[in-house]
Amino acid sequence: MAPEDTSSPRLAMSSEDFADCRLVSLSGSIDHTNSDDFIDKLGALAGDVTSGGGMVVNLTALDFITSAGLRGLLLAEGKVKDGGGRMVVCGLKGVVQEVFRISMFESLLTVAEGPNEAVGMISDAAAGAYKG
Amino acid sequence: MELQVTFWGTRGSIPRPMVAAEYQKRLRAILNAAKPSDVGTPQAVNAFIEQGCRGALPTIYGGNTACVQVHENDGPSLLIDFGSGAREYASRVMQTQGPVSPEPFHVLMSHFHWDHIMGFPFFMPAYIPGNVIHIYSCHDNVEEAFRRQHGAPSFPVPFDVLGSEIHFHIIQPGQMHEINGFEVTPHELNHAGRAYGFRVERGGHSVVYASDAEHKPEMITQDYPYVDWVRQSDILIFDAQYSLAEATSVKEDWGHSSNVVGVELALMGDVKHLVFFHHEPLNDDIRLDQIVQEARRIEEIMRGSHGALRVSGAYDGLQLTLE
Repeated sequence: MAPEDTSSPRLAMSSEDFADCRLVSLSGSIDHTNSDDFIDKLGALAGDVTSGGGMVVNLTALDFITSAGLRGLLLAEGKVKDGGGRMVVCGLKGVVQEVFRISMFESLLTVAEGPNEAVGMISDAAAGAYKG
Repeated sequence: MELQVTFWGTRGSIPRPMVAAEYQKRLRAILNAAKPSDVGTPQAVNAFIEQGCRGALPTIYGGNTACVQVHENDGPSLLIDFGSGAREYASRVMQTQGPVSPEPFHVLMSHFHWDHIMGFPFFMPAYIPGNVIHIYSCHDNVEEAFRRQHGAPSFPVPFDVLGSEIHFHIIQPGQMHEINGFEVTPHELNHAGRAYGFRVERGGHSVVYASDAEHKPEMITQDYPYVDWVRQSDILIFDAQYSLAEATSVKEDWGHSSNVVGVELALMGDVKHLVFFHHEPLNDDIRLDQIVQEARRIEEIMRGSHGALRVSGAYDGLQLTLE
């Protein structure tokens, strides 16, 4: 499936499905000017994740995130769980990793090092499809 | 004209005395950090302590609950909240002015949760004829709240026995009130049963007391009324009881905020000095110091084009001066 682009100003967002795993990649910044849009779009992607599968949110290319952005991740995780799936966040680095640590979101969300590890935590089928 | 802010109680929820094991742990850390030259003479000991015991002496935050005084030195004064810190304040007043204060007491009440009212039964001036106490609140049941606490089955002395003259005043949020020479503007805060913050201004200085407030991340937008209320204040006294993760998950709707949200709001409002308050009783002094340090890092990250924001943690006995 070709990646779907759901970008908004200052934030680029794309998603691609691998077996029962939806991989969402973010780049840019999530701040108070675009967090509502981010929450809506990520929530929509989380809403139809396959039961028994899951969603990975890759933050490797994300430069900045505020409290509203963190809340958006938490809301998306709730939707995925409600649908019987699992959500994993990966690619924390730099400022984003610091914000996660200070806000203690590292202990609130499931965090993996990179997309390989994160997709593997969803299912073997997803890991196989991702490695292609 | 100088304006001072004195913190008589800074803890949230319940008083938090230091227990023996914690005291011994601190003493052990200090002694382990000391070099022989640090303790060779009384002067060396003084210097060792003043320099923070080589990093082994954290801030001593104290354990009394909410009570803050905004005042001029030996001039007009406002007290905010009757937490257990009010007992310390009363002791100081009686030591310096005698049992009968020549000036009435003026006290703003944010709300009546226990930690903000528990100091009143131990506020000695209330028992002494000749003292006058004015209590201001945006809650119309203010007198009932004080009477209910001050009597059976919670307390042995009925309210009507108090010898002082006590007046209750209802004030309105969103309006400026002239109280004892200060301009006071209350603002409703998101907290169970409603709490009110107070923007206090005098002589060109502004102090905002905004304890007991839950700012959910979705509220934090440029048109959030709170941001206008705190805008360009010299000091913002902010409830940072929880981590952001706690405040958005297991402790959501418990009525308190985090250091991260405090920095975000203070930057949006161009506040000069953000002071954390209503400290979590589960947190020891070392953790509270970490929370302040982490907030300073968040401020660096999020500052952008804003001017630098000073970030501190209030402790019992802290006095800040605005010149």
